[in-house]
Amino acid sequence: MEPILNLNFMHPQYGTLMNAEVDLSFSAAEMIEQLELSGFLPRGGSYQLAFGEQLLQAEQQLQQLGDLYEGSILRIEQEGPAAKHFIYIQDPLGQTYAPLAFNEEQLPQQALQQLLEQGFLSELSGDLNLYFKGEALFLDQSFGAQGLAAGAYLQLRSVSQASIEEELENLQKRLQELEAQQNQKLDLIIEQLPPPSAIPIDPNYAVRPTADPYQSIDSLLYALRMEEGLSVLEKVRIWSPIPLAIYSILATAVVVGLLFLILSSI
Amino acid sequence: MNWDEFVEQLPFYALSFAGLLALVAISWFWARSRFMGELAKYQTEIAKLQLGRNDQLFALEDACKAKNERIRLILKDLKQQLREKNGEMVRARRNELSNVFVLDYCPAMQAYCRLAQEIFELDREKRQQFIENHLNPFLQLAGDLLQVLNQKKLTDIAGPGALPIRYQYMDFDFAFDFLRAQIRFQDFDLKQARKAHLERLGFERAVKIHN
Repeated sequence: MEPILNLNFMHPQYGTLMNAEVDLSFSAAEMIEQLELSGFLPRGGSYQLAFGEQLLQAEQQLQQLGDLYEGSILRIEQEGPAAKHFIYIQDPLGQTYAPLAFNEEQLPQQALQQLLEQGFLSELSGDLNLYFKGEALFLDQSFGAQGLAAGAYLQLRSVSQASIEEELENLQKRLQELEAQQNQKLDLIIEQLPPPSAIPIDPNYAVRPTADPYQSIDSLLYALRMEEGLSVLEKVRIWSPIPLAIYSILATAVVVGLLFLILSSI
Repeated sequence: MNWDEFVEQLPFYALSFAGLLALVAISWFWARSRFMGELAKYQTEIAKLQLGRNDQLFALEDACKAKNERIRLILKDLKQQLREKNGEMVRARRNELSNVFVLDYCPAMQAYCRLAQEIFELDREKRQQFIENHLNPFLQLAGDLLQVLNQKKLTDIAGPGALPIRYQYMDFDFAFDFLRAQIRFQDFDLKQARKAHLERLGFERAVKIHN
């Protein structure tokens, strides 16, 4: 079974991403055709897939790209000499990339201006800066002087704002701290709880306080009888003299018979 | 027959006596275990049935105990009011006692009896235990209360509005039915107890009419 990966394809002009589950047995030409059919790319153009520094030939299969991973971004480049040298700038929200023709002499300041003209940015606020691999670029030095090459991915964000990854990391740290605090508090509460069998002792109240001694129904009835000097009420016992009479008659008969035998023998 | 002859025949007499004793013992055991043979095979079935219904039985027993306690508390207050010679309260407590017993305790006991009758239908010993532990004390209490509530001094203090209290057989028929069902097993003891309770509760024995 051919492996299937979730890949992102970057639009050559707008830098938007298209996410798709892709069968890696597709060749580059087939993939491009699929993207055209889906309406992501305009029909009739000649395109090429690129991953990092590599450009895929039309017949080359995607699985021949050894270092593809889940979620990796494949660039779609319009064929032609001018279109081959781009740098890509990620917008502050991290959703889209704007391709810019790469020029070693260009200043980052000019690139930002260009983005503004293209409509990628609505306004150019003062604290926006470009970052490459987490490090800020100097706006007054050219890309070439700062060691940038074609195909680089740049981040655009304000100076005061940390990158999304850093923000996430901070958030995670804070969450962990909170969790640790909560656990500490819980431990403290559990330590201070009384054992489940202990009955709480309240020094002010007793449970169901009563000063009256317990009197049973019988003793109450007896007391009421005594008020009038009447005798104690009889208990009805489950007892009958009949079985006793039968047994005693039998026993007497036995004794009398024995005596009779003894006397008659003498 | 002289002494020597008697001594000579003593083994015969001893044997006869032992035989008589054995006869008596055997007849006694036979009478006692007359129903046991038939009942033994039902014992396992009864045990199975009881497992599921014991909870209901316990709940009804608790209900009866609660009624008993209520009657005890009313009786306690009645005694207090009698000491204080509070006529109105004595009358109220007297009526309350009678009402609670007949309208509250009797239905609870009836439900308890009915379930016991159902569960212990074939278990004579359990029925006997039920009578000894629950039914007999209940009837005893009914008779005692009747006698105490109709005492002269108590009715005098309660005032002219206090009528003598009488029970209706209808309220107690379940108890006597239970006893009668048990008497079918030839229990002389219960016959006596039933007669005593009927008299104490003021119910005349039925006059048998032979056609």
